[in-house]
Amino acid sequence: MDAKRRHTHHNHHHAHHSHARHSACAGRTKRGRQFKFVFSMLISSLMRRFGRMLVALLAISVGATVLYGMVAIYYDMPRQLGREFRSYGANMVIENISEAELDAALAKLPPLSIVGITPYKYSSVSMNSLPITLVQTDFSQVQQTNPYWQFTGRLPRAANEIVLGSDVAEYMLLNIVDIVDLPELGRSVGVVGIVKTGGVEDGFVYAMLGDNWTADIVELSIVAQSDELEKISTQLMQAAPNITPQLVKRVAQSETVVLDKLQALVYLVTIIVLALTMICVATTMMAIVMERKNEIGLKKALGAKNINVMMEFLGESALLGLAGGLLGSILGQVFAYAVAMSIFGRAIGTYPLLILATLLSSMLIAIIASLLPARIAIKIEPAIVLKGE
Amino acid sequence: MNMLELKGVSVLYGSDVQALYNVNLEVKAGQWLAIMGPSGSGKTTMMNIIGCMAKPTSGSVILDGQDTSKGSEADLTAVRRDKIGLIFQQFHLVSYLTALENVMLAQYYHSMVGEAEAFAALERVGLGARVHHLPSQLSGGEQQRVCIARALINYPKLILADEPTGNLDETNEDLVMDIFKHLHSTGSTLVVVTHSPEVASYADRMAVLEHGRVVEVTDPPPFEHKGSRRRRSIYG
Repeated sequence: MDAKRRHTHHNHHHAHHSHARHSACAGRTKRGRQFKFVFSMLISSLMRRFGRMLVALLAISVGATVLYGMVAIYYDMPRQLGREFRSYGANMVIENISEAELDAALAKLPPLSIVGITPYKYSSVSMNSLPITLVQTDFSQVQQTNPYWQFTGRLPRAANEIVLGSDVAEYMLLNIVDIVDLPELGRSVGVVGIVKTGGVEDGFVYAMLGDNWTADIVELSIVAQSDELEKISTQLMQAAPNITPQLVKRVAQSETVVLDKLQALVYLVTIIVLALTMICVATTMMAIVMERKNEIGLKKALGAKNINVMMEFLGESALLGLAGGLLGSILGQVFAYAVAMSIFGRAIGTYPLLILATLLSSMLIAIIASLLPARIAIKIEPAIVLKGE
Repeated sequence: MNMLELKGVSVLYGSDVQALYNVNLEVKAGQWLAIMGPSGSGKTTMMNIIGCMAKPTSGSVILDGQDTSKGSEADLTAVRRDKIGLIFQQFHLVSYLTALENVMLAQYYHSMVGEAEAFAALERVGLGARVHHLPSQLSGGEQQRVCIARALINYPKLILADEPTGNLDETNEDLVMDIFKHLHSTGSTLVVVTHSPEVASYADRMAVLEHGRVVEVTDPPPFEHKGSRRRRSIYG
């Protein structure tokens, strides 16, 4: 009875479609609607089957956390460890220079991360009528460049106060609060502290160096690896031709070697964790394909092409990767911060580029891990929907 | 005009399991054919062949003038998409999609999603108020009607139903049969595989399968239907 009407409607419907297909604007609308539908389908698949996707999400999140955390530490480690290494002593020495000359030269260089600049002025003096080497220096800087120097007592606060090297104190039988005769500094000079360095410095006597100093030797402790240090050295020479900086190569190079080894280790651990993540995601995705055999078969029975099935599956993985990457970036920042705080005692920066890289690589890893499961998915036959269960 | 024609169709699984032997069958446009037979008689294989989800080992299958027995996998996919509406005993709704989205899914793979049209299709099967429910929130009968709306949304040439009332109670069976009768009255071609003489009784013809052979074609089926049992019809 209304068969004709329906068929007419049907034909009209098709005519309308073919007309629409010729219009570019309608084409865009069509693609938009199709995309909107498939996107909302993927979101529904993830949100409404959240429990099932949780394992895969967790795997990606953990992978992304380690990736983010490790790379953040990897980037930050030279800076972090550079500070640590500076406790082994100065890595650059400049001879015969005044404070003014050095300041002028440094001002011409790009900003440096300087831990300390310690001037030393040596003179031969007599103390209690015995010849001895007097070293005048800036004690606050000594503690920065040579943090391993162990002071007992206190540091000099006035020109007539000295610190004795431990050997001097021993063979001259002197101790804190003793008064000595040191004509260069005054008639009665107070011993306020004793320093133990473990080197020849234990045989010297130390006093304050005033402002606007001219030093025999200046030790610099700069946060930089050996190649950067070479560059800084060259720049200093260009800035002030009378300056000839020398690198303390032993310190600078061992720093580089240790950093390289640590970074290689981080690199290795990151690769292993990523491989494990990929295996875990692939296994979960494989289980998901098996679990959704009927759904995939149904879609094919409805006329889904292999490419549809594949793209939907990989699209789901990509979204899962994105969510996992987002979660991983947050957890990774917390992880890196905690590691940096507990090991180096310093905070770690946030790297927006690293967040982007983590998101992209999480998506990529999820997609790569899903390629094999997706291949299995497209091999599922639509006939499965008719096999009763 | 024949909508469907099976000529000498045989299906061999492996080297020794023969699921169909030399099946010959015709279904005219607008006709309602019931396929009956005991378990293991080859009904599922026959459905797969008619529904273009498998190819016969020999013989030809002509659907709407197109020989589907020789096509590639992609050709068969296109035939399923464009010409066949599938209705299943297990409904096979996508669990995370609403009733409306399940219908739109068939539109999506066919040509273009159209929410209004999908909505109207659900309204026609009496589910206008349940469109945003997930399958788990629908009764078996409602799920089957979503499945039917999905099968009909792209105006298929042939509606293929596998035990459509196998999982339904009497009331829902009546509702589904109402829809089938309506489809038949509007000129649709139906092939319904069933165990139920009641369901088969509404068909124009009946083919009986046994051990992979069509042993009987009855025109019309030799069953009385219990029309008085009907409580209500969604088509008034």
